Amino acid sequence: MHHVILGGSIAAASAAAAIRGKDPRAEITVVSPETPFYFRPLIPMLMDGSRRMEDISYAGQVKDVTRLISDRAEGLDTKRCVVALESGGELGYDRLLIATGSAPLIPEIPGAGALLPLRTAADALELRKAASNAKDALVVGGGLVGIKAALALGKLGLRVTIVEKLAHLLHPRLDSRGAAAVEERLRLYGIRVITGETVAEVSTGKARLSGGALIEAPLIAVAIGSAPCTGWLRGSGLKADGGICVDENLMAGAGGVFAAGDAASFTDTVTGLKINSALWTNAVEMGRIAGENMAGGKLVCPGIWRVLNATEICGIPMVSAGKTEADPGEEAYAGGHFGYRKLIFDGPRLKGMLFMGDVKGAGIYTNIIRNRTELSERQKQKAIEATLGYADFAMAGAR
Amino acid sequence: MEKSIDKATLGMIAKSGRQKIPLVWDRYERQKPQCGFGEAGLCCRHCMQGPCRIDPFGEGPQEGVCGATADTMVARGLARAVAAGTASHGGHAKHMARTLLMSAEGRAPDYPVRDEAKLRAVAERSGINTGSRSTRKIAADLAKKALDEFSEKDSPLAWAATTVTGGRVRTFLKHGVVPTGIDSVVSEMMHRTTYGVDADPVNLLLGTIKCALADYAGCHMATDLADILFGTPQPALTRANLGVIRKDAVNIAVHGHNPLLSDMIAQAASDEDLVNKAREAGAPGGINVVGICCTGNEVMMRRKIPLATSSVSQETAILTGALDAMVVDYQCIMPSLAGIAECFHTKLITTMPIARIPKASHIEFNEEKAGMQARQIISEGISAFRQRDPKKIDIPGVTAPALAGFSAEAIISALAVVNGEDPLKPLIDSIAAGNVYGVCLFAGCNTVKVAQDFNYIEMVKRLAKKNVLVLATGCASGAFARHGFMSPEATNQYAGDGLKTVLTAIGEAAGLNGPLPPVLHMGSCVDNTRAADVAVAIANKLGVDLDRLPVAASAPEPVTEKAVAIGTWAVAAGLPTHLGIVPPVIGSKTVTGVLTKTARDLFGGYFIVEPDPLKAADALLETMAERRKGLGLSA
Amino acid sequence: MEVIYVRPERCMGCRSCEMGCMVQHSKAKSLAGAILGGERPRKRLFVEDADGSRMPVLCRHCEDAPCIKACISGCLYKDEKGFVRRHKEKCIGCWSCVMLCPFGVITADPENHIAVKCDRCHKLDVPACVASCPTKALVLRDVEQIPAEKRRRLALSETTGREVA
Repeated sequence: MHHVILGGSIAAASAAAAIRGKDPRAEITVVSPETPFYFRPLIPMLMDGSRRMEDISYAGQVKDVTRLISDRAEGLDTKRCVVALESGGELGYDRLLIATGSAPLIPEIPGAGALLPLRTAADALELRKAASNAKDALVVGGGLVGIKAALALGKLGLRVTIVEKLAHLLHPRLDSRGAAAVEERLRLYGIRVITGETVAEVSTGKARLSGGALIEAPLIAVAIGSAPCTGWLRGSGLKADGGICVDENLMAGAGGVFAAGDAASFTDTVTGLKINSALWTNAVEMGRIAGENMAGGKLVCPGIWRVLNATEICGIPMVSAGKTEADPGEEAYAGGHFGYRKLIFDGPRLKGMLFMGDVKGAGIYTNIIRNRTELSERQKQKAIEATLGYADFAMAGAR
Repeated sequence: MEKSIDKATLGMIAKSGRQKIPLVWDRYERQKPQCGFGEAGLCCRHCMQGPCRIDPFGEGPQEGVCGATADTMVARGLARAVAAGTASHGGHAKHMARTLLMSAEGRAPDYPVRDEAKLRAVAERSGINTGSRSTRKIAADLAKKALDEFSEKDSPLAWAATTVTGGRVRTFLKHGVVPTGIDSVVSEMMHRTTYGVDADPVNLLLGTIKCALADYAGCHMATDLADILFGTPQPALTRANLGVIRKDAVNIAVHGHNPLLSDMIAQAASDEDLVNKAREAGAPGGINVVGICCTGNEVMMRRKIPLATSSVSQETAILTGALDAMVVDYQCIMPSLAGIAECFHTKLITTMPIARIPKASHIEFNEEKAGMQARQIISEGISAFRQRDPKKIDIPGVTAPALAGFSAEAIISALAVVNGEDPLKPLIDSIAAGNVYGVCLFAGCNTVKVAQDFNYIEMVKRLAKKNVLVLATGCASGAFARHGFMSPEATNQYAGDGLKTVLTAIGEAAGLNGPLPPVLHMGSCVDNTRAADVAVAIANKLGVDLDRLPVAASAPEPVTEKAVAIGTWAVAAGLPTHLGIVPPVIGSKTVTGVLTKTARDLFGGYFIVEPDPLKAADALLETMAERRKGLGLSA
Repeated sequence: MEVIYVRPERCMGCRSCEMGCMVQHSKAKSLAGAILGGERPRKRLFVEDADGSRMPVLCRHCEDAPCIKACISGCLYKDEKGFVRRHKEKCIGCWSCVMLCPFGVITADPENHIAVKCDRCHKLDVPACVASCPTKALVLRDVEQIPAEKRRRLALSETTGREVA
């Protein structure tokens, strides 16, 4: 059986391992336009120089791929079961996984020259090079990637300004109170943060913001999000409305075609809405499920996460999952002895959580969100009091 | 780990294995792992909001429910241990005082005053008019004076204030650690360590030292009154180790701490009627009383009663299958004895109303008819003898000769043979010349946590070689006696040349036809103040305080709360004091620091914690070198 | 394969397992040595209180370990014995494993800024926590000796984080 995987990141690696686990004799071909198999979340460290490419590569651990093709898929014919490659050839498959990821969104800014994204290892190195010729930098977008880019640029000695269109940073991973704490800490680290504004135009190395301010911006990095790489599927017959539509087995409509990772859209665990996400953990899980199913399994993907992030920014560890703002009918409990802690409940079910400062036990909460666990009154109370532990579930059966 | 280095003990341990009778070492194994919080002193059960524990590594709680920190918890725990030790020695001393009063009032005919000279000396020291007054009147006054020491008084404890150097008294007053009542200070300690009283670790530790000084007073009183009632010990040659138990005799072991009953039993053992009864029962050897633990030391040094074994190995005496009765009073008596006695014909007899053991026979001790009770107990032993199972008899043929009974008075009189006018001079000259490099008092117990006797023997070998004169009490005495270190031969084998010269000179002069042993047996564990008396005499003679003498103390295998109390007063007395077991205080930096460092600035003495016996010996030698330098002597 | 089997009904809440764990993960490898050496080793298992019922909660070295899947730096891996372990030097302190461990037993070491987790005392025959437990609430069991039904429940509880009836 010939499995073709389009894409060379974690969904691909995860799928390859799952296929190999089920079928030791499977032929697995990976097609990737960029150097495959590195820890993408670590590229800010490539940028600031604290890691080299070989430090962040896990290509050595990927032993399940039979053939690696450095190329890009340009088209798909599901009837003939072939993928058209950018280099001109065709590649036949028995099973196909589309894990082509997502591409950074680039805003239209009048007058702007190069707008540098931070999506790939190559982007990171490009930014690093650009930083060596600049004293100031503007980062457009105050999400996780924008902040990591800003901190890396700051570490390289640049004066950095982040401009975020929304009212606060890190939406929706943090609520406004959590974001305020991050903003304050970023300022301590020498990073200027401007929220609720956009870049109106750029001229002679200066950016004019929507509020009128002029900012030195010889270097502009952009991190306003990404969109699934699905343009090449036009004409294939696959539904790809902002991400390839897949069924619960992650099958993409046509026979033998699956999709996983950023390229696919799927149901949000918490809201039930169709989303596409760029989260590592979603890609790992979807890759595994798709791989299993490509090799004959019947695994059902229970859902993916819109928000599921752990990180540390300027010394503040944080974990958020599900959602960080309550919708009507939900209750939010915010507080915390050390740092900030917020839980959002829909009756007995936990829908969202945000821990900042102390993240101990976060996995217990993400787990009950994922499982839609109906908490007892006591368990809910202990969750709110921050004393809920695994024992409260294990021992619940014993009593 | 080896359980013991004593061949007799090892033999009985092997037997216990064959017979599947668990001993103290087996129970220790069953207790493992022992709780780390307890080991560090970081648990507290003083209130019902607890129990509380503190994480010594900082990740978990750093305060108990009430807010007590590690420092507070550890200091309170140590304080209570010292209070318990003080209460034990105090109880022992009070028992002696009450008996002396009964003796003086004619209510205890079996307890005449046997050492009048000591009675008068102690009475005079205590400010009691002696003159031409009768022994009975002096004894009554002294007993009352002693009993007065237990309640809170307006004045310092006489048994502490009048038995140490003037310099010590001034130091104690300066730091506010002078106790005014033995029981009252114990009571005060229970008060200040209860829920929500004293939380200041340093204040608690000063209180602990005050309590320990009350322990010193209690110990001293117990020794003084025992000497008055039973005679001040003089060196007497006997033997030690399980081989002293005889197949052909009715063997009665006395075990515990107080001489009140054990001395009576030792006396009654020569009662002709009883000896005949024993012979009739089939024991041609008659009645053989043997000692265990500290009551064993008491009768060893006064009545030449051989020592069977020591505290940790107490069970092995029954394992011989030839022990007919074991009669016990209080302290260090393992409750396990009853179960082990049940495996043999041995009759376990408890005698004290405050110390009973389920399944043991109980004959409640009454001072008014002590002699009769002693005979009754021996009779019990004789009838038990008839139940002996010859197949179960297995007595290790191990004994060592032991010269026991070097009271302070005995040491001074031995020295007086060399220099009658100035008895201390030969000793002081020897110290000055370096023939006696220093003096080390070994005290304390045997513990399952160290191969029995290992630390003692390793240390004494090293110290004797370096010409340190070793004094021993309690189960330290037992260890050295069982291993032959209380025989003149040991001097030839182990002492350095200087020490050998001195011990030989004194021994020859005293008519021993050989040297004194390298380890001088000073009595039971309550008798540690005998060593202090010698040190005080030397200090007074030299005109320096105790904290400048090349004298140290060591408890290489400590177990009890009494040992903690003794160690604490040894530190307060100005002695570097070694512990071979890490005490449950390491959870507090403050307490550990005060005990091992700050105490030195305040009192001159301090604790040295060192499980390795050779390193410990070197550490003690170092303190002696330092102090010798301080006195202008060769180091 | 041997697993650490938890018998919560025997747990006295004494935390000896935590202490044993900390001591084993100190440099001195002894309580006194670690305390006197000023070390601050961190525990890898946690005695939890569930309203009076106590139980030690520890890493199950899950078959399909969520922490490994969460790891974005290649730090966590499964060793040849099946133990989930760290390449310490690769941890960047992103806390993704903390976020996804359903048992809550991976913690952040704030001093070294890395995630801390049970290494199953892979150099010892008997893990320190098991050796430290005075009531045998923690025991080593061959996975084959655990009845199949119980094993199914354990496996399910590991993947779902729920005790399964």
